[in-house]
Amino acid sequence: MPEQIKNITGPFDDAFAGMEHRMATAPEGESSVHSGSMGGDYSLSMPGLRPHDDAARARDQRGWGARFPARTNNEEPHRRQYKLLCEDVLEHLRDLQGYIEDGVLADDASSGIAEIQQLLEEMYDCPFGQGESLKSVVVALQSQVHNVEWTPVHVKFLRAAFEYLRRRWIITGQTAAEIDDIIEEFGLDVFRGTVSDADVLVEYHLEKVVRHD
Amino acid sequence: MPRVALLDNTVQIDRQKYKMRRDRIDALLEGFDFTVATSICLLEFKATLIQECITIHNKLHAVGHYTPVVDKLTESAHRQARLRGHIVRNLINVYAPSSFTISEQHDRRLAEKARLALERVIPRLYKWFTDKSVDAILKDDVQCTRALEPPRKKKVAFDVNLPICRRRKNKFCHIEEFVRKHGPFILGKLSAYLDQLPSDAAPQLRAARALFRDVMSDPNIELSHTQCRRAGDCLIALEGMEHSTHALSSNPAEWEPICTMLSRQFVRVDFPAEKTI
Repeated sequence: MPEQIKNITGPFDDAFAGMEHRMATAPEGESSVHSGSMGGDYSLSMPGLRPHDDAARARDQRGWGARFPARTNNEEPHRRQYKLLCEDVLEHLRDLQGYIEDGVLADDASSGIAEIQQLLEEMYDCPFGQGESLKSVVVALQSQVHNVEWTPVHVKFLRAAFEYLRRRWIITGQTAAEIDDIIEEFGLDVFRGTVSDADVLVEYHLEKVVRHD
Repeated sequence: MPRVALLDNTVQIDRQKYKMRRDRIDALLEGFDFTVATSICLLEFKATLIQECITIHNKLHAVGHYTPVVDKLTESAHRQARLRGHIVRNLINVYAPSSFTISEQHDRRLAEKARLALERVIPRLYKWFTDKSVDAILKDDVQCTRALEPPRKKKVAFDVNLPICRRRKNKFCHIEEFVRKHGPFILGKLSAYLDQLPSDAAPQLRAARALFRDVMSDPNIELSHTQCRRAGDCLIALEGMEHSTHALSSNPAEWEPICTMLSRQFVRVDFPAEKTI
């Protein structure tokens, strides 16, 4: 067995087992390419590192690609939750398409709207993305769809936003700004809910209650 | 000759605050070929709308609860208490759960959402003013340093970038030079107008006249942005005078006489539809 294979420690999954097999059975010339780039201290025992990340790590060792965040397995459950939420919202949005008639969203669509709003709240609590960036994204989305009479434009906007979000590998501080760009593309008001009072359905107010116990 | 509209700060703020007013102003602006604003107008916008958003944002971050922050900021006698009330009401309307009672948990969540919402829009408000609201910002004559600096986020809090202006440290504008250039012309007109009025009338124009006199008589004077804002309407009008044919404002008390002095047409922006409600 080549020397670099002996140095490998730690748990293997099926994919890595395949990789081990390929390395072990590779001709002498190909094997030296791996050992040449990784060096003798190459170890795959780093927690969270997946076999297909070895190329990314090799780039880091040469000083390349250092700006790209490392993929770690501890993000995986949150990413899965995030992706599932995106899929669920998209499914409800597809259903809502059936309630659009003559450019008007029917009243029967209210159950779908309520589901989407609940999913947005769940996404707000999903600990995925850098810092509070996913929360900012959800706040940007909610600024357009809370306390408003939904129209087909809102459905189209959310579809575009979630098609975009579903494809994202990471959520950063820039993502909310990109959602704002989508809001503007659909002719909606980015400043709604902050400095702008546009199209509010019901007005609430805070009332101070003084108790005389 | 193209019709060029100079927009006052009140118009720019109204375009953001109320949809009904925005529609009305947009309809008015359709009658013009170009729209312009000035660097002092941008300074005013920063010092009012953006400043209040930042104040609310920073308080929400510090306190972490919505209701106490709203109470403190809106019940004070601050001159922008109404603007603050407008912003916090909008935040409640969109982000509060539709319930008549708000628990502590809801209050914290609302504070967090409001903070994140403001964090997102503060840089965008500045960008809207500079890039989208008008065709051009006339800034070459004064080059107000405070206006040209966008609000920036530090680690957690925003900084509106309105420190006291100090020449050669954080101030590189030409405001004193600009006032001395236009002073002789505008002072004569201002005095002729103000001398006809009772002594307590038109306080803002009187403040502008006093400031112009101070700058003309003191070669070492250094103005800070608060002083510039006291003569804001006059400075905006003078900065935009050469490149505009009309001036739009919802504040006729100052703008109507200023436009008469500068031989520009004044367009009063009012909102009759709101009054009938």
